[in-house]
Amino acid sequence: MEVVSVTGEGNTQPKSVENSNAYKGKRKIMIIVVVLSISLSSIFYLWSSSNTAITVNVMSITIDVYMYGNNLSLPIMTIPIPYNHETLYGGSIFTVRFDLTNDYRNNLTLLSNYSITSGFAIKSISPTPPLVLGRDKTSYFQIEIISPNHNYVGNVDISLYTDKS
Amino acid sequence: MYFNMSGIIESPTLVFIPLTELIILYVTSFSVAIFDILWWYRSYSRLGIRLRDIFIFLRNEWKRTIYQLLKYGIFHKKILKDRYAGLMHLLIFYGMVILFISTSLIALSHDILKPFFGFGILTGDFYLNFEVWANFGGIILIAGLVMALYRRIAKNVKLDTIADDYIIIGSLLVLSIEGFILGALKIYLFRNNFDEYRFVEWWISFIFPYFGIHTINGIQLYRNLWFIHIMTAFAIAAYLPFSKLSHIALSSVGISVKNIRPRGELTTPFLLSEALVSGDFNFKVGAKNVSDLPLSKKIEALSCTDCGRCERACPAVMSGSDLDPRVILQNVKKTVYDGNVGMSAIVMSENAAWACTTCQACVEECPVLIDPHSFVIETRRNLIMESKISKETVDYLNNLTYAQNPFGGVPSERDDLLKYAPKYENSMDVLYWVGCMGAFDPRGKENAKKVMELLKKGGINFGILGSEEKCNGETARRIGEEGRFQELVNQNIETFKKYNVKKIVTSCPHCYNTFKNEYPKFGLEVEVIHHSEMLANLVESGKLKVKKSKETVTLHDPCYLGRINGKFQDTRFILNSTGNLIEMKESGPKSMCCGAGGGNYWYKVKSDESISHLRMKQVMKTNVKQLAVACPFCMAMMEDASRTMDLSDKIKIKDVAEIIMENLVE
Repeated sequence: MEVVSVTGEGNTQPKSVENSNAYKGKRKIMIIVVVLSISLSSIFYLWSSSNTAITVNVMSITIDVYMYGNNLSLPIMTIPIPYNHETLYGGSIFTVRFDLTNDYRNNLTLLSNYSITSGFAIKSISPTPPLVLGRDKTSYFQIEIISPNHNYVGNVDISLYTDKS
Repeated sequence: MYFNMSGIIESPTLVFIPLTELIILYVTSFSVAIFDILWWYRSYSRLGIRLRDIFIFLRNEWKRTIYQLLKYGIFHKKILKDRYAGLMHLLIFYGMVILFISTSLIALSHDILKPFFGFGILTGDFYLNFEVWANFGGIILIAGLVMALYRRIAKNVKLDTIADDYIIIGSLLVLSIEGFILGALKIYLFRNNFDEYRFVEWWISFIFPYFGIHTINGIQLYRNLWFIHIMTAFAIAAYLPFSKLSHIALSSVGISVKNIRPRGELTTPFLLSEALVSGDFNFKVGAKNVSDLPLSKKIEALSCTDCGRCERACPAVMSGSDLDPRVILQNVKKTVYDGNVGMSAIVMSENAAWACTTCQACVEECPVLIDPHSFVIETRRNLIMESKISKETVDYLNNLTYAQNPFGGVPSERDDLLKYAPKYENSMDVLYWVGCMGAFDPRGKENAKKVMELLKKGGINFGILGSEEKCNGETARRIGEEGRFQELVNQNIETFKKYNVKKIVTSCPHCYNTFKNEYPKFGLEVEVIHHSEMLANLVESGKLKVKKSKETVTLHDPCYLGRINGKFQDTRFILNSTGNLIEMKESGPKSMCCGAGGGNYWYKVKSDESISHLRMKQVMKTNVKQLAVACPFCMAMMEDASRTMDLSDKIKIKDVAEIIMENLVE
């Protein structure tokens, strides 16, 4: 080894080793895989978007129970139902389940007229109204709802109407 | 208290994305996660480490592993030493950790718990806290990435920047910004008053009306952006093994498994005493090829992040030699699986191998506990085995063999100093180890006399060994001549045992380090201190009375006293007691080497400028007229620099002992 040269005669640069061909090859393959994956995913996404152009997101559902004869702007009962983990398509049907307890001072009759947020429709209510709900009694309800045929995000309000028995 | 219209606080996550599109998320994220885990495992299995070995290691070393991961990884013990880069890394690291946890919680709540168990965990106060933290994580991640980008663009520090660096930083920045826009758009499309907790996204959400975005087109925009977000994350994760981001997985392992030993102790490849008894000299010393490196070194190389801190601290790099610790580590990393890649042919040049001063500035700087100089030592050991050494090195080693000192001086010359101190006897408290520089170098001898005089004045019951003293082998070991080193160790230990030595005071930090950190492995059990510590104690206790002069002085910390053994205070105490210490910018742990260490005092290597000249320029910036040293090699190097730079009349170089002597009050 020749190390007898003195300072000032440097001009030597540390030499970086090139990445091996095997490494470069693997990197190239990975880049191709990534590009292909993104391309395929994009195609799938475009297909999915065109087939599911409408998405409906119900963030929460509120059941308001009104009583004829009372002030109809103030519900006698309100049942909040969290509902935001599923993205629906336009026109799809989803079901809401809840317990309705009559904590009013009289027996109540649930009438067959109801309303729902614009764009949504109620397909069915089970048990089917009209029906009588005794004082302090609880009944289990299922409401099938049809989602709107346009993009929607927000809450859904369902108004049910009752009368004193 | 905040509620949405139904009175419930809950995360509206994964909205607007139908199942068909969620499939893209599940397929890409699961496949890339498996790929990354397999790559990580393959990185080590290709080195011969199997899953079983990992489990056994963790079972035996789990405490140390967790402790080191927390200390050096999670809490950034070493990373923060560089303030800008440390803060930058801290922000990026914690930003990514917070966002990773957030994403995991979303997946747990929305992809597992809600569909399968009918409930989520991102509700109520927990959800509000979650959103605050997620926004905080995003904003600190962006701040860290902007700092990283600025650092690359501004070029205030020397960085080895390649296109990949911009691609990675840019991709992460895009990913973070996408995340914020998605969150803000979600708020805009369905605003709850409790969304104010998402304090960044809340304010961004007000910009959308200005771009004509409403519910109908906003949802489609959200879906498109979400898809791009998923693809960005996928691309980054897939490219991770080929980018600098690979350090996330590899450096974590490196810092966790590193066996942290005293910095001043080199590894012992064999025990000469055992070999002499068994007659088996068939052991492997040093590394000819990368494949010869110990497994621990290969793991270290894999964990190199290419940050360049070692490169910027290395005096050999500054001097323009072809040694570059970063390049060495990267070269090993690139060839670690390739087998027969020559350490002194491809990884580094022979000149580079000899240019290392073993000052350990690189070790001090490395944020992931790599010891770059040990790669040089392994290479040198092989060069010695193959006799690929310079004539000066041959002379040096021959002198050690025949005269037990590197100067080739007659051993009896050491007895000259017996005129100034008694011969050591069993009953004495302290052995003053004069050292080869103290015995044979005129300037060193002058200083040794002063130290002895001060020890006498301080009432220390000490003696010297005279011609019974032999070089302690420090430089031989660092040159790579382990056998010669151990011969000297065994001879010296025999002498110490003969005289029942209990305490050694050295003037040379190299001797100090080797006695303190390397001799115990060979059976030496004595207290070892440097003369600066002994003299500082004498001054502090009043046994040596000094006056404080008006002189200003700067201090050159010897590497083997300061950075390697953490002794910074004694020299400073002495200088502040006798005058006014003006610190150099490069002081303490960041002190620059004088250029003599690792054998460089004894031979020359190719470089553009001498290290001692570079150091002297730093000294001259302080505008003082005195430079204090505490090492005979530093003394010789700095005096040589002052002479050759024609600065002899501008700066005087003195040992701390000489400074005490000048200010002694009789």
